[in-house]
Amino acid sequence: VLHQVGPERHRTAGPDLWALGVLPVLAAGAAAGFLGIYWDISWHIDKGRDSFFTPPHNFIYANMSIVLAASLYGMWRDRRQTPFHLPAGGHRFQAGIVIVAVGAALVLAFAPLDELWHRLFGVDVTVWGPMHLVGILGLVLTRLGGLVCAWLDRELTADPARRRLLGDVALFFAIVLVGGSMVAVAEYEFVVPQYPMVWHPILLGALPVFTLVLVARLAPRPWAATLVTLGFTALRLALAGWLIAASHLDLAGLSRPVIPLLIPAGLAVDLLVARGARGWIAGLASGAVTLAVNGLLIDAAASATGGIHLVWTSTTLERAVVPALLLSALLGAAGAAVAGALGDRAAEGTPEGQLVSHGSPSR
Amino acid sequence: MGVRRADLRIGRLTGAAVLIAVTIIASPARAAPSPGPQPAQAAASAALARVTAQVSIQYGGPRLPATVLVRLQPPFAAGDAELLLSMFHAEGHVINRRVLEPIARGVYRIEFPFPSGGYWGYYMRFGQGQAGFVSNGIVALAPAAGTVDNFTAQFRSGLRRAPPYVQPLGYAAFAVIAALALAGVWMTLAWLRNAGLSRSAR
Repeated sequence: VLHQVGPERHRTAGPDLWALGVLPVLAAGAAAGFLGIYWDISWHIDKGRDSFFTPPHNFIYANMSIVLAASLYGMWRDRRQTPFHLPAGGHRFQAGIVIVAVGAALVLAFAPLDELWHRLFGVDVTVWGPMHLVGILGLVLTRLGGLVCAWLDRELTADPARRRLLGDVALFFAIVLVGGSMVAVAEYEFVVPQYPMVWHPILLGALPVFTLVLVARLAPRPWAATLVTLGFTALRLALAGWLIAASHLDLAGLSRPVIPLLIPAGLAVDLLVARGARGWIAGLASGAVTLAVNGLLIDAAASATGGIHLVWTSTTLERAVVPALLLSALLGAAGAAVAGALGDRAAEGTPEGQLVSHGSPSR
Repeated sequence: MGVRRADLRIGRLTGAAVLIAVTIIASPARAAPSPGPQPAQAAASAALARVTAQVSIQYGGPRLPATVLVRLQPPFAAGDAELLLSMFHAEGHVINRRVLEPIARGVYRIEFPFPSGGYWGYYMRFGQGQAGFVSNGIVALAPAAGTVDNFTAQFRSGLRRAPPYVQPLGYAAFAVIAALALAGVWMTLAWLRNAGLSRSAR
């Protein structure tokens, strides 16, 4: 698309979202939101939910307000006329920033709704509380939107250095997207589940698949899915450091989440996508690898040392394996479909891919 | 042509999503029955108004884990559901936390280390989300080889201040919000795809 758009490029001139400072703010907000939500869960477990304005709550509300403001600023300032800007009335908005704005609005709507819910019906001390799920959905959408923003801006420039930078920003958003989706299993990682254990392997296996298949097919760098899982692991280690520091300052309790091992799943997805596997097959394999690695290695090691880690019994795994693999396959297909919408490298080799590819020779 | 193929793909993915969602939601629900009385057990509802647990801790000796036995009263209160049991030192030195499967109806067993005596906090829960039953408190323990500590814990329902339909209603509201938000995102992505197709076709 880019070389066909070429003659029109003078009409697409203007600062991109990175130059406007929007993408850096969104990236910082995504990372801060990630730290804030785990801090909040740790606070709830060890200190309780004493008020609407606890330090972790304030941290999350403040950074999501900044993210919403940044996304609105981006919608206002980014006036380019490109194929990736949605027409709405007399204006055009970059598609990714619209997704970010929807996500941030959901998070900010969730806060008063959650408070109202607690006042009306009591405190539901679970991440899966209905209003909490609205907040998590919002967080996930802001990260997906960030990824889409970075990827579309990458497709709109021919400057190799800029493309590399924006590709890496997309990778960063993929890392926090995996981190954000894993918030759904945080209670299991803290070993304070409020729902049956069988959901843990199902969601642990499946939730990262969407992002891993998406990023492996977009391929901003070689071994993109593996890089994302490495980044996710580093982020979780940084989170552990944050929680330890907060605990020393009496701003968090002693509970820490177990860090899931996703790196083998990233490797599996990269290898399969590089061989042209369909999204659902890569997803299925990713889910299977995650279940096998975490179920066998980590749990076995924890039992041997008497530690408290993932406590999947054989019955739990037996119940979980079919739904986990089905959901993994579905999310793999969804990841591939979204990559197709963004013009993935894997689609280039097919007749349809030649039509939809937004790629350029500089990949 | 390309647009029609994209629409077909979206349709297939949506159909698969519905089928898989039904399978996923049905499988664990079937495998992990909800706690609480079965419909036929009308009298059980009244009994659930007061759920307690008899907890006994048998100490094995220095540096050996103690055996913790939890017996729910009434035994059917949790059905065959798991029990989350956390016992932690009041000053935060040790946190014993496990999800237990029943070894008999209403009976749970685990081995926990209690390296010191004094005041220990406990937290137990069974059931799903806000509809769960929770018990917490502080007990004084005196670990010595061969001795047994006993205490009774009282559970309270998370729905004691709310009608039973609140949680399903909340999830229905979330489902509507999520469906709207995801449909919006999907339409945006589909627009992007079609925009790419139409420009390429020129």
